[in-house]
Amino acid sequence: MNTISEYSLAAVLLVIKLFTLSMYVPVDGENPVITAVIFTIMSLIKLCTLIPLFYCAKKQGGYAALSGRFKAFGCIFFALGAAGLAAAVSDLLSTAIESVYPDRYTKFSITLIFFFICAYIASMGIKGFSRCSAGALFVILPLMLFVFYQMRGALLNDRLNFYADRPLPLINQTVKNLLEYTVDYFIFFGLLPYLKGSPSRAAGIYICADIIIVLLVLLTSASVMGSFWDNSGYIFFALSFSTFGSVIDRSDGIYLAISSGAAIICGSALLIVLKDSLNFFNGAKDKNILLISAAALTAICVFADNLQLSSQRLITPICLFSAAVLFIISCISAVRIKRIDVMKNERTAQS
Amino acid sequence: MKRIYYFLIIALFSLIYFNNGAPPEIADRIMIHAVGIDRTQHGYNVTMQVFSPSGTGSDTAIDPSLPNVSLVSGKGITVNDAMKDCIIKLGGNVFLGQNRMIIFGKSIDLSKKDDIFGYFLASSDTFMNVDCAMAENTAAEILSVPIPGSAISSEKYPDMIEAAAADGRCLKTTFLDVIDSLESHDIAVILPIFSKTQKQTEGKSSDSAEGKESGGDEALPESELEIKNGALIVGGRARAQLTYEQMGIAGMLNGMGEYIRTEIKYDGVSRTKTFKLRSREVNVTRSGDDIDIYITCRLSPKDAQIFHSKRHDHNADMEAVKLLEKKSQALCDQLCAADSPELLNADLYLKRYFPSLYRQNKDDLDRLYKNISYHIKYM
Repeated sequence: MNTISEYSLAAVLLVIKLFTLSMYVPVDGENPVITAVIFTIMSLIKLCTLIPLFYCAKKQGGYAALSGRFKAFGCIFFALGAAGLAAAVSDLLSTAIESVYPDRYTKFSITLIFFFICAYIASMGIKGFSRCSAGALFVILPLMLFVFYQMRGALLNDRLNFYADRPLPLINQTVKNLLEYTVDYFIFFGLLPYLKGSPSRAAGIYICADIIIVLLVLLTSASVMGSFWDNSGYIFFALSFSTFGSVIDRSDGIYLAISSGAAIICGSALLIVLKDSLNFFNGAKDKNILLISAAALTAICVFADNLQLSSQRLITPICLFSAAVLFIISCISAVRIKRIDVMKNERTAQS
Repeated sequence: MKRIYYFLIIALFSLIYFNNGAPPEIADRIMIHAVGIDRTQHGYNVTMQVFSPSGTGSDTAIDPSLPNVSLVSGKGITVNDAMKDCIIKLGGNVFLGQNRMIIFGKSIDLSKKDDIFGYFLASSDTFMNVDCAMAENTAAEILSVPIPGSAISSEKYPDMIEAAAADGRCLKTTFLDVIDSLESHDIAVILPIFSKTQKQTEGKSSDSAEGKESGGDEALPESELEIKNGALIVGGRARAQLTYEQMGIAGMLNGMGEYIRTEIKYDGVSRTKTFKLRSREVNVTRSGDDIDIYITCRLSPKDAQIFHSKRHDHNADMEAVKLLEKKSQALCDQLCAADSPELLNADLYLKRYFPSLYRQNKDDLDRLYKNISYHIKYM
């Protein structure tokens, strides 16, 4: 009963992707059309790395490698990853909002509130959390589509091209930049125990929608901002500052609401993963674990902020390391399942 | 642990969150509606139109018969310093988020981007799609012209540009377009020019029945603003002027405009014809060193056609389209030869169609641009 469907999981991941999209900052000299192409290729590679997982799910419905003695390792891995990413997500959001609205919001105040709101949503259980995500998605997407519809006259204009002064270094930089925003891979694996249906369907729906949304945002912002795109800072907010009077007088408020709401969903997902991992080591109630985790993470982030330590740097290494480990574990699981299958078939043939 | 504890903690922290620098109320803000930037001997002079409701004591707070703005000016070595000078004079919470217009003086040099645009790019209140224009002389002169007839005087500037652009008489250039042009090799952009004209009207002698003094025949000076021409900016400085017809043509060819107009004489009658752009196709070919850019536009007539036969109007439209084609070709040849083909997106087309050629010649683009020619076709 504590399960969600493939569509719910896809909705959760899409909201998380909207958060990472709202935090995207291009590097100097980046070409948005090249970024769009590289992102599409990386998404398809991401889908391919999930093939061993799909095989495992089809045969046995989970990881064979994470049962028994490997479960402790898995829980430590997910606990550390979730805690690190939650701190990094909070830092990312608070830094972005403070830089866009320096007179109104401070990192300290955003960090104080962020984890407790995430803990509250996580305390609703997986069903409540997925309902929140679906609700957020149904509100966010029409708003974004409405604003983009008003900019339709400016789309796909002469400003789009594949030109780069030095193509190979630019591709290298763009790939590194895009890897900073891959927290969805970790969360996908973290929420798999709650998935009732097929992970391949969830991943397929999510990646298709992901590619469409990201291409829309990248190409719209590139069409509107032209060569200023790579200096525009947070492209989401820069795009909102280019819509004065088109439909909504100040759509930057809408974008702030979208990025904050999506960040809370992302933080809640990470707290759910952290709570499940810590549950393995102690039998405490979920709500207690969530409240203590929220308090601990808040304290760590505020402390790190006072020491001017940025936890945003944790995102890329955690995402890369966790993706590599999860992929290897998926492959190991798939090989083990295949070997067990072969041995079963041999025994059946002998008998 | 009950969920009530979550609420209590969130509520407690919310108190800190919302008490920490709450934003000022809208009524306490000083709203800037238009900004003018002039270059002076010692730096820059910034003139701002500040919202100042003039209906105090009347039924409505805003009296539409009055401009409802006041002027503030400041000086500085950079625009940033001049803006701060203005803000110091105004005091209070200055809000630039309602700014509708940036007008540059004739003597401005847009290539000094840090000096001029630093303030706007650093401020989170600046909207990137505010309209930009140039003044015939100084921006301060244009902003000091009172324009009654709407709630706020400065709403008239973008409305005038919008109306002229919809008639093919003007090119709407936003702040983003100006910033975008700064990244190009030639720093080329077209800005509509606001100019001030003095009109005088004859006034009749007034009736003394109400005790008013009779004034006899008096000339009533009436100041007006108009958009006559466009400033051709190359290298950051105004180099030449385009007529309003040429502005419309340039806007349509480079994708920034949708309408185009011309005056023709058909059947012995002079008339103007306005067309709307339906589609624009661009193709670029190269033969040796020569680069040919073919632009094909499909137009549809915009004017109402009631009192003539369809055949008559169709023939008149075809005449107008042929004339427009000739004028467009002449304009393209002029811009390529004397000014900058980047005004017609030549650099973007080269990057798209021949990126390696552009990369090889990016240190000597003038030599590359000399071999570019445009071929215009209207259908």
